[in-house]
Amino acid sequence: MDGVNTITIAWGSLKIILPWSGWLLLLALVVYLYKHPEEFDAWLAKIDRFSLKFWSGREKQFIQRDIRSRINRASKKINKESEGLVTKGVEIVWVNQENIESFLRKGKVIVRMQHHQNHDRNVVNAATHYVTKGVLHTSKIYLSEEMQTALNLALIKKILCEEEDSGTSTDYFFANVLRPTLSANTNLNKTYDVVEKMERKGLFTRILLREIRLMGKKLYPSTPTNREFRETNDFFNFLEPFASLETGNSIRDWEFVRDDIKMGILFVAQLGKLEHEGYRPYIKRINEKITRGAQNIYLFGRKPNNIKAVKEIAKQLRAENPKVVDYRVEKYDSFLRSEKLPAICIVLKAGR
Amino acid sequence: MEENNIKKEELEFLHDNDLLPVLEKLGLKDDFLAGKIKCAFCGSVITENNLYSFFEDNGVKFCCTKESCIKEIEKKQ
Repeated sequence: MDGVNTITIAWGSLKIILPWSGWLLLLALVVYLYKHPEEFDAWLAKIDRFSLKFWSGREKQFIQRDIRSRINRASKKINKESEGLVTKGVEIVWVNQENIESFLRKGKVIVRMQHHQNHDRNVVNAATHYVTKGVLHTSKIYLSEEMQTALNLALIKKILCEEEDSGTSTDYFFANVLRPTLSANTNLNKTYDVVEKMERKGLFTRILLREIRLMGKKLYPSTPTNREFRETNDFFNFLEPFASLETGNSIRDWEFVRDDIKMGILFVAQLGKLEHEGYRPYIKRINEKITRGAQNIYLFGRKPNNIKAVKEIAKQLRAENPKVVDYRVEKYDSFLRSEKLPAICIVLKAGR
Repeated sequence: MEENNIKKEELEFLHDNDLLPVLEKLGLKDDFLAGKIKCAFCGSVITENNLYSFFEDNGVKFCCTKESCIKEIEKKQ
């Protein structure tokens, strides 16, 4: 009898809770979609794509939503890696015979979108337009043509690789843009290879693009001179060994302090050093970098022990050295001999 | 740490359905169909297969889908 009562009470309670949990779920969903509009766009784009099988009237809506959600997802991720690097996403504006003249008068470049049967090409064109128009526009002028192209290609690939479906537009990009462009230019191919290595090591957006952006912020709109081209080129070459590094034994500690780029790197990676000497040698080296003029110090660590150490070192430095005005923590996955490992990068900002 | 006041980027697109009406409005439809319009950067004839974008630069100019020409567009923006 007790058992029957318990079941009755439980069922009675469930009958009350279930409708509430339904509302709570709906509320949680609404909050999630409000915070992630690009996900909502992606869902609607899927519905639009399905409806195109029966009716072509929603073609423009599909292209608009699909492209917007892909770019906005990617830009969110890139800004997480390095805040402020790209715009907060895109808005798509359709041009037609009524408004064409006003857009041309404003100096806009209007990119053609084909029918959805050529959607891979549309997506690639849109990503290309976004990267060439909006990403690091004020900074790229201080880079060589070759570096500009390599960075553009790497960013377009990064945006396209965010897609969750079968990756057909990425395939289109590889076959029709990336491979032909790289195979036609050996030097560009080499530069792009280094950028790819930087991306795999988490250095591309976190260090290279961030420092280039900061340089552009300082210099734009001054006309680029050989000095700036040399500095950005030297900086790229300076980062290259870090991108090629596998174990962290040959390079652990370095800095690049010039006229416009002033930064240092420190890897917490050496086996046994932490256990025997603690955090002090690392803190000492970072303080020395700051004294020598580094304004951004990138502290890297992978695997749980080193990640913990990096966090502690940053905390202690912030507390002890008044020149350290801020720091930003970025967690990501790094690759060590093709093995995916948790990693951390803390950017310490030193005041002048 | 770093200010992030960059707003959303507006991208202007023209759908294929509107291509001919727009070219007609600009008075360029017949030239386009006759193959008389050329890429502003490499000089190749612009067709339905290789039209990438267009812009104003002392008259309406067109750009083809060649990587080097798309790179030139960057300087126009």
